[in-house]
Amino acid sequence: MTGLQQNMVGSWTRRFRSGFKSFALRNSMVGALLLAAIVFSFANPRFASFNNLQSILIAAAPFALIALGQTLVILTGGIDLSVGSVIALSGMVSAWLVVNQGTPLGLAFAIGVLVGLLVGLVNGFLVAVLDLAPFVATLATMTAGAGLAYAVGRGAPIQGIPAEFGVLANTRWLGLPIPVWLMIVGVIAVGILLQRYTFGTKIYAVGGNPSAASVAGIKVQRVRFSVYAISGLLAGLSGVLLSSRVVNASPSLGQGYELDSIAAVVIGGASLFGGRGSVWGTALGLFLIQTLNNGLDIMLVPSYWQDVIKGVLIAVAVALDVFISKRQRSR
Amino acid sequence: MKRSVLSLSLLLTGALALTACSSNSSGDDAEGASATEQPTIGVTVYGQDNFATQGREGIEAYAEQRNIDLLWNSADGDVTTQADQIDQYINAGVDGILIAPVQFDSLGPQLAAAAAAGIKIGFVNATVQDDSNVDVAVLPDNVAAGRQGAQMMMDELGGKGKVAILQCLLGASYEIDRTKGMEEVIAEYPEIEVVAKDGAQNIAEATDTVKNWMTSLPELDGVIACGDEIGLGAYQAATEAGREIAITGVDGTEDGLNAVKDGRFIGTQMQHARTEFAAGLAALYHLVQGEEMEELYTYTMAPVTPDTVDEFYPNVVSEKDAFLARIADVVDRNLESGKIEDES
Repeated sequence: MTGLQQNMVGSWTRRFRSGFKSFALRNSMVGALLLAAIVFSFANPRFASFNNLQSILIAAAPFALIALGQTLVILTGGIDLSVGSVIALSGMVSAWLVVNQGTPLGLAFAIGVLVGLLVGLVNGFLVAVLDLAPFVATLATMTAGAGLAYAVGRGAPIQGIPAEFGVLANTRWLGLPIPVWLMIVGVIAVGILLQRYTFGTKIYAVGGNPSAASVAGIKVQRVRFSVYAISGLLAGLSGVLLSSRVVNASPSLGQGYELDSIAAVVIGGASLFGGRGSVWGTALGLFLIQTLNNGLDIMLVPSYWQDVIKGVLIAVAVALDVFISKRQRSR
Repeated sequence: MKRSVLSLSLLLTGALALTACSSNSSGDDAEGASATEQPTIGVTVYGQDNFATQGREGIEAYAEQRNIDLLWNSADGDVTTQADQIDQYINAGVDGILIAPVQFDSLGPQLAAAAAAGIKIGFVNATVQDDSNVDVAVLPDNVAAGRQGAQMMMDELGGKGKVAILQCLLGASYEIDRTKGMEEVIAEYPEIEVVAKDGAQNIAEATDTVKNWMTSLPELDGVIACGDEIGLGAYQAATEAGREIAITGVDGTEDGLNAVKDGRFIGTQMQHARTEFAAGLAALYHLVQGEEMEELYTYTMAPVTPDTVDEFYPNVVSEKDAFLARIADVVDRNLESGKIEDES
């Protein structure tokens, strides 16, 4: 009995310590972000304009939504590879409904988001109920989802989407487009969820030590199921917003986004083994990537060099993470 | 596996086909396909995007109208998959293989094997580096398409101003050719400055890239895009930034033609995949039937402007089924005249 309690206590202190670690990392990320911003501002004064900040925010929004879901999944020690496919699928379904079925816009968007939730539920079922490895389970839904996205358009993008389809993502409220507001609300909501609600505590506990969490009375299956469902829902929302922004639905939209979202979470200091990481870290990681995308574009650096720079950044971030963890362990 | 089932069922229905063919064939195709034997042609295309899907419609319509037994596969962007598909066609003993290749420097051994087996090889949309075994090809002139797009922009700007080149998937052979054509024309205009140049794979990427160019380039008069989809991304970026720029595309997709119609594009270049791919199949089919064919047919993309867009719109969008219904006659006529793009 006492041993178990000690185990539990251990997991709590680990969580606090991980708070420290992510604090250190967070600061290094803030430093990197500031450094990038300063370099870009000197290179081109237009970088530091409100308009450009808006460009960064708009480009970041669809990534932010999937990165939020990805954070929750990774905190439980899982991974969600299906989010890129979900983006394509939900965008395709929405556009197909509008173009071929004459479905009202609002309903079509809602169904698109629900398609994402549906894929998330399947992921949750495969991982939590059937106990498949998350990598394998979501690899399966990623593959099937990409195929379905093609099937919806019978192999092709949806053509002839009416201009009104763009209303959702191109409407501004208090000067900012709706996707940006959804991103802001999403980051704050998930942040509060993780820090102030028991559900958040449970997520960390499941990722940190699933057996201990289970002994402590946490329904591990339910927690796992939920995070995949949330991730799917957010990916569905992201897909609908992305399609609406460019008034285009293509099966290739969102391709590779799953890796970008994982990169943001990892750069943000999360551990792929679960139990460590935070929404703020992810947000910083995401903004570092987006700031680089934006700033390097403004400096007219070719996209292939941009990829090289991002790759180096990911390696540095993870190396830094390992370094900090080792130092703390040896102390 | 699907293919072995297919060939098996072919074998089983062979006897039936003997009678069915002769009784079914309309007067039109009786001359081509000998009554006893329906030619089998295997097709492998690079992937399944909008362009390939339209191409498939053209190919299937032609095959149906000329009574060709068609086997279809998509390589989904993978060179190895495409090589496997060609091997399978060789094993299945097809009469001809039509290929829209994934990659320029690929398929050498497979083509040699097919040639050794006496199979005729046709290429459509793009070719391969080692074309010694290619019997017939229908290829678009992508350099000309790039030239035409750039020329439209030069005319629009009066030969003076700042432009950006928005490339397709970097390194793809059509991207290289189109960019080359664009730069050839721009080089003739000393007062035109290329202020930005980069690639984008899809509309979302194009939107973000051009949006960022909007920030760094206070003066940007035009974007010469390598494709309609990414051109529309440039339009979205300009709209978000509250600016007006001239944009040209390539391909003449439904969305692209609509953009020309309502003035979002100053123009695009018409590459109708249904016509082009059907011509590819037609050229190979006639070769398999023992007719003399040229080695290369060039599909020249017609410039589409607000003045001419209505000539192209019906066949691509509003009356495409009527067009598909007569595509075999159109394409066969074009192979004789050499004007592959003619849709009249």
